[in-house]
Amino acid sequence: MKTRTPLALVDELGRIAGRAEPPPIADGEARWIIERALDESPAPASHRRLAFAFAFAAAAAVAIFLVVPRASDAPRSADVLHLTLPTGDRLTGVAGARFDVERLAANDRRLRLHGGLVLFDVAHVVAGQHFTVATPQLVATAKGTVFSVEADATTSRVRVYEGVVEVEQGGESHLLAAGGVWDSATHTTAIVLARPAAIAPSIDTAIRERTELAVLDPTLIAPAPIAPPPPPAPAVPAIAAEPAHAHAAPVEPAAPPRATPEELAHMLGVAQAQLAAGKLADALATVKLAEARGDLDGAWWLVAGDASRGLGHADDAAEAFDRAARDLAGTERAEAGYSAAYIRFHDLDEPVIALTSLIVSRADEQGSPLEERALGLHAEILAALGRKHEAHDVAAHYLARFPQADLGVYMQSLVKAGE
Amino acid sequence: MLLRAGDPDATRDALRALLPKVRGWLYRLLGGSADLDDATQEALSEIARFLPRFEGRSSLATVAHRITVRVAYRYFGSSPETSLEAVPELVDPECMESQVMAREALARLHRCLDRLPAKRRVAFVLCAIEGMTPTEASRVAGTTSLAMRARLIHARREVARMLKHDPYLARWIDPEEAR
Repeated sequence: MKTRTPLALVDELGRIAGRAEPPPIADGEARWIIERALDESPAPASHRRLAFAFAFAAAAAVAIFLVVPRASDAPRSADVLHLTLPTGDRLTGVAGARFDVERLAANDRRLRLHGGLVLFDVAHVVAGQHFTVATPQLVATAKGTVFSVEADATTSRVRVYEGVVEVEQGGESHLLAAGGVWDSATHTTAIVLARPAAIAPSIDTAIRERTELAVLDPTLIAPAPIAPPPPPAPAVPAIAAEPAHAHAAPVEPAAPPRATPEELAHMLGVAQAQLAAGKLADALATVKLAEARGDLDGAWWLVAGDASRGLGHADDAAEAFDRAARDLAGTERAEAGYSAAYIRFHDLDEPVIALTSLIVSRADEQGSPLEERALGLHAEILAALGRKHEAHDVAAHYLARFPQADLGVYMQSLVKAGE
Repeated sequence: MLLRAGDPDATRDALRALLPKVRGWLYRLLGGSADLDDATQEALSEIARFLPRFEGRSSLATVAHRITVRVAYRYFGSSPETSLEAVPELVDPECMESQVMAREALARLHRCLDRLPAKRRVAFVLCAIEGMTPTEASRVAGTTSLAMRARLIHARREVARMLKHDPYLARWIDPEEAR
């Protein structure tokens, strides 16, 4: 029997699996699948679209029969309507908003926003559950959060007030953390602390209630409580009101609330994921948002340094790495300090500051994983500064520690020059 | 134009043409799960929903593949055991000794894939099974080629580790390497 390495067997099985075809399907069954798929996809708007008022009334009816009402202190105004889905998700729609509830199951809630502005306070979403809002331009997938989507025929804007939302547009996905805004027209993420005035009170209420729940049980933000049945017809004239964006004038940004350590840790995870996915501008935007909401530790500055470096912002990258080195310890400190020194010396032509970065981080200390490279850079910087005797000493130390290393010839030249 | 206008006949024709591909992709992603036809219908439904917005910037097959992968994520873990009957008979005389053995080996491979994190599983299926390059796969999965390459490396290593501990498959592994 022929044997092979484990990885070779993996690849071989992969190739065999690639030739596997699904069991044949009868024509009738295929037709049935296609017809069901067509049934579930939206037909022309005139047939299937639910006006806000209709969705409102339908969900209210379900709520009356399926949920236990509770008192709510959510502010109400003539321009907004509050709606609680049987799944516990709470919606606040600004007059004129139109959407379909395409699917409403505990593990799969799908809404389609045709126009207007709606705030979504999403009940707890666990693995395997989905809450998505589609617009003509994008799909926003909530991870258990508070966010709003505003859409018209040409543009959609997703604003995240708490938690994380994944926005998919044109085959690319972008993670937005709290404070992030995605604009479908410009394909950009921005940090905007202003909130649409019409839904600002609802945003505050949603976040406050979630915070209270988190304090009660920090391990779980429970499903949003169910609001009482929404008020009857008089509140609905909203349908005929102006388009949503007319009500969406931003208010002056207030000082952002301080983030809890848990929130900051969550945001750090988002930023690191954005960085790993190559979404450098998104990662940097998340860092800036977090900086506005709390004190960042070295792990944050490593993210900022890597993202800035990737974007070609050498100055910002060096500054971020220096900050990281000041806060971190051990290998991470050495890596951050070495990176700052390298960028300052090679990209910014700042040898004096580069030397400081290197020395402060102790990247060239014995035992540091970067000892060899940091010693080499140290000697190189000293030579560039004309400090021949010091360069001689460091080069000699390098040769003693790493006699066979790559920079040996160069270090020998520095030793000779310093004698 | 008809697709963009939401013409039902044009949409139906497009779905009919895509169905075999979508079903094949899902079959390899889900490993012969009993949910195959449900997932196929769901993917086609999402594709139909997308068609009016299709601008032709990339091929419809690429977009359909992307949507299919997204649907597959929802089904990962929903079928704890891969049905052996759902794995077709394979003949690969150079590597596997009989059709039965090949079928069993594939079923065990898919059980290993069931235990991978979803993103690594997708990377493995797209690259190691579908034969795409990491760059091609990254477009389907909506990520960077760098991330796709990293996921593939991790996925292959994890599957290899699991195979070493599978008494049925370990017999094809060099005993020196199995240690």
